[in-house]
Amino acid sequence: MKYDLIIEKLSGHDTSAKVGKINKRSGDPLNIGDVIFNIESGKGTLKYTSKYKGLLKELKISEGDTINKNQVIGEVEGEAGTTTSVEPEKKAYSFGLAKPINKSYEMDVVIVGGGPGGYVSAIRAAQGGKKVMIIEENRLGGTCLNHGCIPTKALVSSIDVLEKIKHAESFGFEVSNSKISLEKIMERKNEVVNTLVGGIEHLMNVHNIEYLAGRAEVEDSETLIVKNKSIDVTIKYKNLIIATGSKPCALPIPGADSDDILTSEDLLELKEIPASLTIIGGGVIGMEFAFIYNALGTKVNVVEFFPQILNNMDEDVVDVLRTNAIDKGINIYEGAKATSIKTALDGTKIVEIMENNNSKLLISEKVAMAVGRKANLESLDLEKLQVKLNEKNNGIMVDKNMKTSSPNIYAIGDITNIIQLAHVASHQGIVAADNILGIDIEMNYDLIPSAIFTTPEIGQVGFTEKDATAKKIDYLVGKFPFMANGKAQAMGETLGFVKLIANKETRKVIGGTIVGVHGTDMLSTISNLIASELTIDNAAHVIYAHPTIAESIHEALLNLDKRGIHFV
Amino acid sequence: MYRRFKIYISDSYNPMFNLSFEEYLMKNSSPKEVILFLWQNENTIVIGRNQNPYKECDVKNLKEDGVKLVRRLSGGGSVYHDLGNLNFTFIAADENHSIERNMEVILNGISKFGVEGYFNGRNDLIVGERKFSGNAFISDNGMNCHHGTLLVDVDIEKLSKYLTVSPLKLHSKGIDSVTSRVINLKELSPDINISDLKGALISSFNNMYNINSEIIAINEQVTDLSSYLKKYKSWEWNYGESPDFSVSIDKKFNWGIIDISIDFSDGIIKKCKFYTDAILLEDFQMLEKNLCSKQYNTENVLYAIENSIINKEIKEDLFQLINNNLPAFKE
Repeated sequence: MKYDLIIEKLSGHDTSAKVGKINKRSGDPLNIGDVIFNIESGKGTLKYTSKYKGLLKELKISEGDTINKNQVIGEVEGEAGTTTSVEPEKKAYSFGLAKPINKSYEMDVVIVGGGPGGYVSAIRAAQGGKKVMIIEENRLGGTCLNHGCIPTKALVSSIDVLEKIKHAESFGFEVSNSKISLEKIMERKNEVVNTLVGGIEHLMNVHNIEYLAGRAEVEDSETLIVKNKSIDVTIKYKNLIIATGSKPCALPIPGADSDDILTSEDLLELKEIPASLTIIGGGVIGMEFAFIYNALGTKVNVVEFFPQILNNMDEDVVDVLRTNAIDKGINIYEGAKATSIKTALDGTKIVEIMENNNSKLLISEKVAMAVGRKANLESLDLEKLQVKLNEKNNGIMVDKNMKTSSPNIYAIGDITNIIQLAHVASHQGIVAADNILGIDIEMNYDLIPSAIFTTPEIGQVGFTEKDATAKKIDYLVGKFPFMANGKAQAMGETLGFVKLIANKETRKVIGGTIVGVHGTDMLSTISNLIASELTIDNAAHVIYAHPTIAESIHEALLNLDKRGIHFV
Repeated sequence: MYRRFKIYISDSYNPMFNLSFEEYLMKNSSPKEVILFLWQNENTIVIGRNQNPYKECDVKNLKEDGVKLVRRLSGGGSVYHDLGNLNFTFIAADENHSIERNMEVILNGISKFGVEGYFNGRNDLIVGERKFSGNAFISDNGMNCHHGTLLVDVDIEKLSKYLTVSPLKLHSKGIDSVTSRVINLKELSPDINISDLKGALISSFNNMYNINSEIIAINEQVTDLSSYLKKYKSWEWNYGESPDFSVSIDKKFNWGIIDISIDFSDGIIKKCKFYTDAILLEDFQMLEKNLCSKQYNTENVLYAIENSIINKEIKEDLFQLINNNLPAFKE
């Protein structure tokens, strides 16, 4: 059999390294454990050993070449062996973090917080020729990469595989037994995260951005200090961008402050699959985890205070999701208020809820709280910086240029508490950096897409039907169910629909929701339709490739005028 | 977690022995062990795993001054060791391995002499902008080796002399050394000496883990590492394991100008060419053929010249030329 030789592992968080001495050449016989070549980077040397017995058909690398993780570097003809000693993954150690003590810097732009807002603004400012420093106390990538979007998506991808296995029979396969290893699922998730964190470190390097690991403190309105065991640094800045993010918050109910109440971050680190789990909060985060743990075999309860889970979404969209959740055995309590959390003698958690004025008890092994995130306002001494809070006192006040009340200080991302989404933070970061570079642009929140990775997934942008009704806009609705799409049928993914909203008067598309397979990936097409202000008539003249799920967008466009071809 | 802590101190100044012991520890320690190994080398150049000695230093110079040259398992650049330098090695399995913690052991140790050094986050321990310790890392099969130098009172003049890049015209794609500004700890703290520093590192290691480690002295008489020593003494490892390279040498003799170019791979002559304007009738093509595919060593070069060239003077000159530029000596 032929096997590709792949770079599976590099030192630390390295994503690339150099090829050192090559010990085997194309055409050489190979035994299991033979060293094929040496890998070298500043973080260490490794041997690349053969997992196969056979013949090295081709080695595509030369000494001195740069190799990347997951790169295919050759081909072997032979048999895979059972390696008795699998190399355990090297413990992550954080490099490039420490800097010498008593150093002082003078920077054009300093960014506190290395999440999707902070690191994007750092790159943009550096592209404009500024001397940039980014300060991060944990790991680059922030919540999104380390405890949010990315790790949950890695879990969702594992669940997708599981779902495929569960339905394998309908595709013509008999899968006799499959076993879930939460450890391996989490390992894979960590690998994905580590690769991406390494990628950001690399980006900081490439753009000559000074990266300081530590917690920034305000010395005075022009100076920050970072002080810890290994460093004591003073930084003078011309411009400051505050991007210190948010953290999960808890409901002020009895028992909510108990240590064993899980947050979304904890749900990403569980070592064992809980037998049962009550999630307080049926928003995006709550529903994503509900589907993940349900698929893993956990009995899941979701308690939502609002009359509807994912309360901002249209009813017909939520119907699809709710029906699927209930089919899968998730218990959903909507319009229900959690009033207390108690612990039984055996450690079981008891959540008391009020539903229609009736008190009910939910019993589960674990309880998780997913009721929103609060801005990390205590992360910096805002008073010293003369940075004011917004009217609700729950975020930093900023103008459309992302400027705070203090000159030369900007704030972006969750800390502003405007819309707590990674892509909003990134865009705010670009706006802040551009303004520092002298480009006068404003942040516009009209077209913020949202992506929800439930089963099925949901993508939404612009007006929902609810929004249009609330704003008293005379609107048209065009819907197309995936049931009527050829590709969706072939894939066996027929749940959901595409739904477009257009202004009846101007005939422009003003919003859209996709609930169903690839919904989040296809959403950008609708964003572009709205942003380019196309009328239904113009938009409908674009040809969509067949057979694709995206044809459903075309059909939904036609259905705005009740002229759909494949569905009436 | 149950761990066993051990400190080894080598009484030998022989780099081949000390590197052998280090590799032995990496291959034979249990995952539960956390090891600190302290050692010194006399007059030695240690090159990185993927380097070429002919490129990194003037090999002939080393030979004349009796400086040893040895290839280590870790990557990075070439370093010079003498008895003013102390080497440390940490060995631990993945779960017990922490570079930051190791660095802290070293930094706490030297702080007893009033020296406040810092880890620059890459491979060096520094004071100000100057480095007093270079570090490198190996991981193999779940075990990790982190080793480094500590410049206490190294002869900086010799260091720069031996680490001067060779004048040879050599092309290779290995890893180049990076020159950095170095400083002896003695300059920062006149009272420091190797023996006290060893003591300070040992107590710093013990303090870090809150233990009292067993200390084991090793030397060449009692510790048999012959199977490892064979490798570290060999030309095949120290020279032959260089990434592929090509060399060109030219010189003017009484009998004419000769220009030789040789391609090496795994210590074997892959290709060679002799260009000359000599009018004497000598079969240089035969010489090329006789050298090609041969292991590069003194005997094979002598044998090839003997069997291809007739003129005694040319024989002598050619052999000297090759041997002076690319000495193939063995320990």
